[in-house]
Amino acid sequence: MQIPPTDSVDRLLFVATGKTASWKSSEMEEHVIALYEQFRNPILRYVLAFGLSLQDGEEVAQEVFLALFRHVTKEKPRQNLRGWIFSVAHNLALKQRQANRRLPDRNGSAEIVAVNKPDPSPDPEEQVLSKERQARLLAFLDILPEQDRCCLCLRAEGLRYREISSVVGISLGAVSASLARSLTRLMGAYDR
Amino acid sequence: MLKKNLHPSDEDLLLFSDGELSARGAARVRRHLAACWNCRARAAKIEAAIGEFMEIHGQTFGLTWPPIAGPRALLRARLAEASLNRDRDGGQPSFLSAKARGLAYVCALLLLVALGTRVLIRHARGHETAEYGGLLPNPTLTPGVTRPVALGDLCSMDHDEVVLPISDILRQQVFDEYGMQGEPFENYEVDYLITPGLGGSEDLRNLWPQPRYNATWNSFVKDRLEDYLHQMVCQRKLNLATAQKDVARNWISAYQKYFHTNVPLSQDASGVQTLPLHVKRVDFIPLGDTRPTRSKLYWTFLPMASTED
Repeated sequence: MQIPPTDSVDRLLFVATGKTASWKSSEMEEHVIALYEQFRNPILRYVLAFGLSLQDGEEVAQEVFLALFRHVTKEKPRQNLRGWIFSVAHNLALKQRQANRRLPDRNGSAEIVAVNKPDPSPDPEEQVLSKERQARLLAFLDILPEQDRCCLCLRAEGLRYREISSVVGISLGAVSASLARSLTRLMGAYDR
Repeated sequence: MLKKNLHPSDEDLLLFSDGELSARGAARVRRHLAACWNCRARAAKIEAAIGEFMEIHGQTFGLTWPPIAGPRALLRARLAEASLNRDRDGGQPSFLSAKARGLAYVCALLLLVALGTRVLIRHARGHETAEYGGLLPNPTLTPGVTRPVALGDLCSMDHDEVVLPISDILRQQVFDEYGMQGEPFENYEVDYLITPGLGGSEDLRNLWPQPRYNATWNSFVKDRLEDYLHQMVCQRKLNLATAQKDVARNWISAYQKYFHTNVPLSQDASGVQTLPLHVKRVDFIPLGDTRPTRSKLYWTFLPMASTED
């Protein structure tokens, strides 16, 4: 599922009018739930790339939208909410990963494999090839510097450069340099 | 950035392709690409890498996610809780006029008097509650509520089938009502005072947290009483209203009255012999689940079955 463009997210939360002040809690809840329905899978995809388990990913997604609810009810700035949502997810994922490192048994990679979509191709040879390509991508992401991996995954989710810049906390120039660097490495990896 | 008469860098090509260049910069790259096969080939290679990445990314992380219904319901509940807190705490501090402050003081005083009276009343009539060590609900919070129901409807099903599991939201509300925030759920069973099999309602005033770990007057004993009263009512040997009133007033006294004993019958207290395998009360049904699992039932059943008086 493609995430909605940022302006539609902003419209949904009435950035310009500041109308949320007069909203009832139930209205606000419904808006946040609507956003959750649209963003849950992209957020899961993003945080799983940090090596989190699906369970941790779900918890992160829940926390993101609880934070969003608090954010909008406190009348805090609502510009670039799509970037804001991913920023919170990014920070929570880092925090969760840090916590998991203290627990040696927590490892998400096995779970990712377990819930993978079954390959629709009936050809066993194609299935093997597809699995190899997936393994190569995972290995590639694994060796990428964290910042480059985040930029690449966020761009894959459709975020614009300024949004990525606010999520990862780097300049616009650094975002484009990072993406170009990752793609060059990717091309090199495929050439091999 | 792109210089005149120079080939664009990979970064420039990417910025162009992503629509992140200024109009002027984009026009310059477009002109250059129109004239330079080499750069077009590089741009195509970048596009191909993006395409390849997206395809595998989709396969790798485009997982078959678990259904959203459960997590969404959980979020809804958590948002509702956050809203409650917001409504409770969210009022902006306002400067009250002297008159309004005076009124507030009077209200606070009246509230204190009312609370004191309530405590005194509870103390006066609370001997039997204290006698059973909290095994009876607080009569103020849980007086027992019934729903309008025809006897035929109640008796058309087995008692067990009439009883619905209690939702997590309601369970939390019961704990909140009893000021038991932070208490472990697993030590209590949120139970109907008047069971739905006797016309009890799924209402906060008909639910209370019943301690699980008591071997004498435990939930199995109450189950047995409820089964028996249901049976009596359906056989027209007992009036429904009387059964409801007796249970709501003091279910332990009701057990003693109907079973003619001061202590629970041994098989009732153990729960092992008298309970059907499909134990009727099931706690901790996660949101989104519609049916309890066997393991959860077993988990609920086990601690009670192992206790002895």
